[in-house]
Amino acid sequence: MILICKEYKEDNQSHEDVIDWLLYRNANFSFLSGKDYYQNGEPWCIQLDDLGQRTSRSLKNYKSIWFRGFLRHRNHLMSTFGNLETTNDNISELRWRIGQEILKTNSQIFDSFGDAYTLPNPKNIKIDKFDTLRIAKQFGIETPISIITNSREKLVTFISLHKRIITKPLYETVYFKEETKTAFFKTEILDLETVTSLPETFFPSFFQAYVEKDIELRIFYIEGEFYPMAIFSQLDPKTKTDFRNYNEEKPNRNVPYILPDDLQKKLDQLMNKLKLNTGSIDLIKTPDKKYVFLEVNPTGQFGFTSKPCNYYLEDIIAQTLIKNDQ
Amino acid sequence: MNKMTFKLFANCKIVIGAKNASICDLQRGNIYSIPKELGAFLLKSKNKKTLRFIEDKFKNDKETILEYLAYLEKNEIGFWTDEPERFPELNTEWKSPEQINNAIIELEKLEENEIIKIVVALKNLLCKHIELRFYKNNSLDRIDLFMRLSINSTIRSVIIYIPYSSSLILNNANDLIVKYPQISFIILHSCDKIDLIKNLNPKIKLTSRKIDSRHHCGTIDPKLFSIKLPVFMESLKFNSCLNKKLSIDINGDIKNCPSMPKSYGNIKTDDIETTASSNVFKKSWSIHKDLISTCKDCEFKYVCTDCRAYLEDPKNQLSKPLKCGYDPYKGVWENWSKNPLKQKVKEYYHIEL
Ligand code: SF4
Ligand code: SF4
Repeated sequence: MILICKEYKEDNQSHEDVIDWLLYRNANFSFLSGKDYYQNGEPWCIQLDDLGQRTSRSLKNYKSIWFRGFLRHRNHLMSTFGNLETTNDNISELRWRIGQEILKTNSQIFDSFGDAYTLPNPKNIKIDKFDTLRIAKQFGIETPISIITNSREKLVTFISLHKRIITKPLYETVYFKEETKTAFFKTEILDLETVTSLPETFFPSFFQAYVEKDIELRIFYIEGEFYPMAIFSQLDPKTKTDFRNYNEEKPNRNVPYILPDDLQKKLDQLMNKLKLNTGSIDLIKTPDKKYVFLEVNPTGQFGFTSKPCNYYLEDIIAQTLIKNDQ
Repeated sequence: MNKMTFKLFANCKIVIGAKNASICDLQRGNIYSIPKELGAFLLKSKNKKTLRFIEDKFKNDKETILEYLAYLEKNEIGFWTDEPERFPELNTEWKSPEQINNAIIELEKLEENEIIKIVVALKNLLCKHIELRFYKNNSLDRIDLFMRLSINSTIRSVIIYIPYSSSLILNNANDLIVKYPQISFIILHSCDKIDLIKNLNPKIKLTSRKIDSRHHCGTIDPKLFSIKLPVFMESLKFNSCLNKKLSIDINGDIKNCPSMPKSYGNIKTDDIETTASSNVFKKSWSIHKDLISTCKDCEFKYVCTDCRAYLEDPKNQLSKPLKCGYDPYKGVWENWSKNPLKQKVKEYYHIEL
């Protein structure tokens, strides 16, 4: 039996599409979410003793697991927090601690997947951007020159050397929505003016030399196969830094692409090293035809690549899950 | 500049017709008419060095071609590159995860147990899109039953045609839409009060057209062209109307399309799933545009909707749709129903519009 692990609340057309293929191919499947462990009030227990580690909620029947997500823990124990009379500091510390407890607990829950095939393995999805860049470099893949610093002086030198630089979060891209405003944690180009206006030292942040683009490449990777898509974001000033700033009327041109063999080999080695059997890889192809690796997202979107390139990734994912269920 | 090859983006496809060619922009949903010669040039120049190819083979048309290429580049239909072989064509595969993708049900007279049978079959066939048709009388009970049974199925969208009887029907339609989110539209036809009715739920459409019989279907109109990647790929090998379609007509006959005379069984006596899975039933699914006379020479053939029920020559299964006013040999649209040559055929089908 196949297990689809996702946050129940998340409505995602690509997930629906994969489920359609599973139905069509007569697969047996069911769903699991963090909700089943944290919110639904069903009792469960994981026990470690002389007989080893066992769980009351056996997942033994599942031979093949598609991992898309598990739990958004930011809303946890909401009501408890509402009633607490304590300092904001304590509350944020407590929230963070609870988040960490949840992560550790999840990790033991994932342990009950046992020897099941996982796409990808949930224990390997929290990858570190900077580590990944370093590993990519070890395999001879080009990466943007990257620094983490708190120093204006360093940053001024960095920007004068590379002309243009960007900053982005080391963790995930995210946004905060308020009633009237939205604040982003995302890729941003910095100019000299902004940099010189910073205080002498500031909150340590991640910076990279801006990489000139001919095109961007978004590659869906699954079990050694590459499905690359070229994104012509350069045609449109709106999407120059980050193609996620969509232009609705005139979407970027997205077309299939063929990667050079040696690059493909190196990327395969990188994915193996990261123990990822699937993921979305972002690259930039520069005007002088260098391929610069940016990042890999283990549970990234694939519908975005599948549809315009006619790749039928939804079916490929379904078939991979079915194959490993036997 | 060392970008020597002009290439169309893979999702901008050239289709050559008898007189004109078209570029179907399958990503942005546009279609461009271009001279046939330019279409042929673009197909032939492929990954070659464009300027040299023009010098070699199209020297006399150099100016015009270059002007067109500039136009195509400006409109982001094509681009210059020095690595054309890295940008492959789209693969032309087409498949979809259901036995039956869409169904037309003439629900007007079907009994409760028949409706139950139909929905069970549609669920098992993994059907996604439904059209429920009422020509003369509406029956809210039947709609409600159908919708109630289809909860928790693969059914994603339901379009319902109902005759406008009185303003009461507006409330009823509204209730249905609130109750069943899968309903994407309710179309109230034969309505003579259009101007008086305001503030409608956006999912309710009013029209004065009298859609009071199945003969209203089958019109070919460029407004209905579907310039989308999956439609294009499907049309290369399959019929763009009938592929994976199932119809149950007013008498319970199991058909490809309600307007076609051929019935493959009746829901009273036959199993819907077995009938819809049989090879004879699926035969018309693969009548694709390149088999159809006239259409095969049309530059719209892979974005056009087709119709196999109303044909220019009713005796020839592979003849062009009757209700198309386009002549790909002249490259002009005309009103088909005024065409004197088609009057006889209209009589044959008993069409009065
Ligand atoms: S074949 Fe013609 S009449 Fe039948 S459903 Fe298709 S378009 Fe309508
Ligand atoms: S019906 Fe045939 S001729 Fe008419 S527009 Fe469609 S493809 Fe062209």
